Amino acid sequence: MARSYVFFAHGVGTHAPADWWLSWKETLITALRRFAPYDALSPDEIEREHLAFVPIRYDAVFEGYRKRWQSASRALADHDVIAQAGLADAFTWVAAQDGALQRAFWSHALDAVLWYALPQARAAVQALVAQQVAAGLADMVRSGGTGAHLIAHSLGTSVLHDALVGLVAADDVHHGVLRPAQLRWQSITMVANTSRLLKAWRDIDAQASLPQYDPYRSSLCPGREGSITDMYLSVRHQIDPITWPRRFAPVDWSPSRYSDVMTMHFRNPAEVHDLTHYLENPQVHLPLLRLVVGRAGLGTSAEIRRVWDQFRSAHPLTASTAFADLKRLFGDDGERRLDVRELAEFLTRAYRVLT
Amino acid sequence: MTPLLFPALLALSLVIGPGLAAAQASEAADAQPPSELCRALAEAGTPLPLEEAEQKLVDDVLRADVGGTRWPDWAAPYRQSPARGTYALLRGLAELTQAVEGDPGLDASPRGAAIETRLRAELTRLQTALEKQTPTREGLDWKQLEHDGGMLAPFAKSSAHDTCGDEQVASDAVFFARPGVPPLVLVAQAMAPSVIPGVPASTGAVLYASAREAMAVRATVGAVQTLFSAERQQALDGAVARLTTISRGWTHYLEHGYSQYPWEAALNSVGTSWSRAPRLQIVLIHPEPAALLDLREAKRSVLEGALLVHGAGLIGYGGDTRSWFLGASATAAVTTSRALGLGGGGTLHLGHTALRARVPHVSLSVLAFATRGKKAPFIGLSVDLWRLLGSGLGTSAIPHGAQPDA
Repeated sequence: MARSYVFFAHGVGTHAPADWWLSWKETLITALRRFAPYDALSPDEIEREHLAFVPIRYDAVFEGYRKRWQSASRALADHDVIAQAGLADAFTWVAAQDGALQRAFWSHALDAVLWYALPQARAAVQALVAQQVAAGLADMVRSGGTGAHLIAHSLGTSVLHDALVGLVAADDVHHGVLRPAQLRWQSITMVANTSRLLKAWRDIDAQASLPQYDPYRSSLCPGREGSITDMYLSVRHQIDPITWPRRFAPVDWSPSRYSDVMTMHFRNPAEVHDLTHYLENPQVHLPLLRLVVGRAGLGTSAEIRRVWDQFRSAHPLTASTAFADLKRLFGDDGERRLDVRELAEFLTRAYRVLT
Repeated sequence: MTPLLFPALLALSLVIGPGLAAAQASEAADAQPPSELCRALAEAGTPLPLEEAEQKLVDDVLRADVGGTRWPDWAAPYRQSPARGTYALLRGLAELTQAVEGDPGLDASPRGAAIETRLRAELTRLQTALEKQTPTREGLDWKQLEHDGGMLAPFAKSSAHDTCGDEQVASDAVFFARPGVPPLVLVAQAMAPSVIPGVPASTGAVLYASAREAMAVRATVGAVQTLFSAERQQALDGAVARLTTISRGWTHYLEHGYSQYPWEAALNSVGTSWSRAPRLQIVLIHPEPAALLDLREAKRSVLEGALLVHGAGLIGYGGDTRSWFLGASATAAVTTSRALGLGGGGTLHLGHTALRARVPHVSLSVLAFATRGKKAPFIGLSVDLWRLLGSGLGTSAIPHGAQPDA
C-alpha cells in the first residue's frame, strides 16, 4: 500500500546503529493512534499501510574524530598544535574545565563544534547524508510512496538543511531528477532548529554559493520559486537552551507555508531538548501528523481536548531556571555570531544539564 | 466565469500545479485579501461536515473507481518494452491524450471542459518537451521536462493553508495523489482555533468536483506517473550510485586513507566541497614510530627504534572512490641509539584504502644519519599509528546498501 515516507535525522552524540530511531517512530505512531480513524489500527498496520520510516545517520563521521582527538586532548589544548585558531581556543577552554564538563564536550558538543569549525568533517557528513537521503527517496519512488516528510533534530536540522541545499544544487550528480520540480518534500519539520546557529560562514560547496546556504533564503524556504518543500515547521521549547542563540525566526516567510511552534510544558528540565519529549506534545505532533497523513482536519475536537489535557497533566511545569546562566554567554545579543570557543562553551554547559 | 468554474480551476491547479498554487497561496497570504482560497470557500457554498464529505466520496468515487487504479496496469507494456524510452513515452502520452478527449465524464459541464483543457495542455507540454530530447545513455533530461507542479511531480498533491478573515482555511487535493488513503476532494476546509495554542481544529469541508471529474483527473495523473516511473527510477538509481561513490570516497579519504593530525585536518579543510572527495592531502609535521634497518654492514644489520617526523609532504588519492594513495614527505628521524644523531631523508607513503583491514598502511623511508662524521644510509619502516587509534569507527559502520567497496 502507498505510504508516506518519514525521514528521521538525529542530533549530537553517538546513536546505536540499529535502533536509535525506534523510540521516535513509536512516539509518532502512538500519537497518531489517538485520532480516528487510526485509533482502530495497530502499530504494525499503521507501519504497513500508512507510514514508512527512513533513519538518516551521520554520527559515525564524528566518532572517528572523537576517539583520536580525545586521546590527544591535552595536546589539543596547546595553541601551538592546532593550525585552526578557533578550534585551538575551544580545546584550551575544554582542558581547563572539570570532569563533567569535559565529558559533556567530548560526548556531545564536539559533534556540533566539528560541524561548525572543521570544513572537511562538514563535507564528509554532507556527502554521507546526501547519499542516504537520495537512497530513501529512490526507495520511496520504487515502492510508490505518496510523499516525503523530514523530521530533523538539533544538529540534524543544520546537517539536513545543508545536505538538502547541496544535493538539489548538484545537477551534475543527479542530472535534474532531484530538482524540486521532480521530487519535493511535502513537509520539513525542524525540531530545536540550529540551522542559523551552525550555519557555514565561508564557502563550503563548489556548486552552490554561500548565500544559497543561508537558512532564511535557501531552497528550504517554502513557497518560493525553487523551493524543495511545501511546508516548513520549526519547533522549539521555550526553555530549550539550544534554540536560544541565533534562533530560527524568519519574518517574511509565508504563514500559509511556515509555522513556528513554540512549546512550554515539561516535566523535567533535562528532557526539554529530547525529540521524544517534543513529539509527545500535541502542539507538535498534531500539525506534524496532519501533514504526514495528508489530513488537515486530523483530530476531532473531543480527541484534541483529550490528548491536550493528558499531556498537560503529565507535563505540569512551564518555567525553570535550570539554564538561566547560559544566557549570559551570548549576552543581550541573541543574534550575535558565536565564535568556536563560545559555541563550545555554550553547548558544553547546556549538554551537561541536558544529558 | 461560472460560480463553479473558479473552484474547479483552483482545485485543479492544486492537483497539477502545486508550484502555481504555492505562488498563489503565498501571494494571497502576503498581501491581497481575499485570497483565492478564501474566495473559493465563499463561492463553493456551505461546508459539509467533514465526515459527511468523506463518506460521500467513499460512496461515489472509491467504490466506483478504486482511487486512481482505473487503468491499473495501463503503462505495463511501456515499462516492459525493450524500446523503453522516448518513443514509448510519446506513444503512451498520445494514447492518454485520446483517452482524455474521449472521456464523457468531462463533457458534462463547463467545469469538466476546463479540467479537460488543463489535462490536455499538460499532456501536450510533456510531449513537446520529450520530442526536443536527444536520447542519451544517462536517460531523460529531467531538467527539460520539469515544469513545477506538473503531472510529473511524483506527489501531485498540494496542500495550502491560508487565512480568510479571522478564520483559517486549509485545502487538500489529497484524493488525487493519494490512492488508498482517506479520499478527500476539497477546495477548502475551515479551521477554527482549538484548545491547543496554535493548532486549529477542522470544522467542515467543501467538495469541489463531481466524482466523475475527480476520477478523470486522478486516473490521468496516475497514468502519467506510472508511465514515467520506470524512467524516473532509473534516473534516481543513477543519482544514488553517484552519491554512493562520493560518500565512499570521503570514507576512504578520511578513515582509511593516510591519517591526519588535527592541524593537518584543519589545513586539508581548505577548499573542500562535499560533492568531491579530495584527491590531495598535505602532510605536515606528522610523527610516526618506526623501525630502522642499518644498511652499513649487511652481515650484521640491526633494527633501531625511531621516531620519524614527516615535516612536509603531499599525498595523492586515486580511483573514483579514492581507493589507493601514494605520496612523499621530507622526513626527520630521531633514534634511541646514542651512536646515531639526527637523521634526515625522504619517505614514500602508500596504501590501499579498500584493503585497510588486511593491509596496514606503511611508509618507507630512506634516511641518512650523521654518525662519527660519516653519512650512514638507513631504511625506515613506519606504521600509521594515529589512524589505528580510530580504527573500527567512522562511516564504514554505516551500511550503504549497494555501496561499492572500491
